[in-house]
Amino acid sequence: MNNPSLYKGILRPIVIRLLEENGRMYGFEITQKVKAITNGKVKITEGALYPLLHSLEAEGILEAEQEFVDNRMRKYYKLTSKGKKVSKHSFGEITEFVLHLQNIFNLKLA
Amino acid sequence: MLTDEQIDYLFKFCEKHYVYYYEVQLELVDHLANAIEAKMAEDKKLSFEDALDKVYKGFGTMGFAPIVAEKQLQVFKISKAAYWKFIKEQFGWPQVLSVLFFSTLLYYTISWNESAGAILLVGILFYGIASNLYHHIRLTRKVKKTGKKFALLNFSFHSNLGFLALYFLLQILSHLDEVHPLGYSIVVGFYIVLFVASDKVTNNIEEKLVTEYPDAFQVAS
Repeated sequence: MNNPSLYKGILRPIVIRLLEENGRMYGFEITQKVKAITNGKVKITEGALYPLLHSLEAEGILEAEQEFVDNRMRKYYKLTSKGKKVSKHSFGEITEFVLHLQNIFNLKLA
Repeated sequence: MLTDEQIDYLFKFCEKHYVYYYEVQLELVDHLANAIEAKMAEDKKLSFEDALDKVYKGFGTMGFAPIVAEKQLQVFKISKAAYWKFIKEQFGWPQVLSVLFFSTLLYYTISWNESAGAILLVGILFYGIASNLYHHIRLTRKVKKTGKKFALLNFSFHSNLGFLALYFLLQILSHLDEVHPLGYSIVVGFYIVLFVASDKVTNNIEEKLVTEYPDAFQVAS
């Protein structure tokens, strides 16, 4: 990533969006998915991701389920019904945010 | 795929880096294992130890500390939310009626005979403490058998309010002559609500741990 601080504020909607699209995911899978979608330009650090996942779980936006995979337990996260509502709202917020950025920086989308 | 011995090593690695809670260890071990497997697949010559070293560096200078700190905070929030949920449940009709029954009984007993009222008050007080202790000891023993530490148990919110209720009651007991019987009844009603909610939270924690970490509790049973 060119400037990780640029993505700090939008990690939450990114995670929520990914979970909405993929149903359920585990931590490592989320980091890899973001890396793949952005061709390795955006890397989510573990130190930022797990506290966020735990915080979203405590807020009731995510729920977790555990499964024994290979020779270890894996914790999957998925959106709750509250999380699905939040997802719609955060998508609207991000769209608006991008629009403002375009206006501020006078950007034109290809 | 990593071997069982390597997975065990990762658990020890987490402990060595101050991650004592099983909830956090489980998730970190899976993450480390996935990342190590990916690194070793990319570079066939890379050893397990070197891959682990590289992966751990990815967590930054603070290592696992921010994850553990956030988990403790969230566990506290979760148990607090559960506590309030169970307190709210006490305001259903059957619960309100039973609290009113005990409060009224206490009010009339104190009005009739102060000593009899004091005995009833002490009885309710000790029943609450005994019930809280019984549930707490049962849970602690069950968890101890697993040989693991759980943040959900160590950072639980419920016992704080239980002690608050106990404090009020002890204050009343020490000023028995100065307080109106209605005052006892209200505080006792409050105390009953708190200790019943506290018991329910303890049971809820037990249920949550056993359901979410069956591997740990199966080994223990």
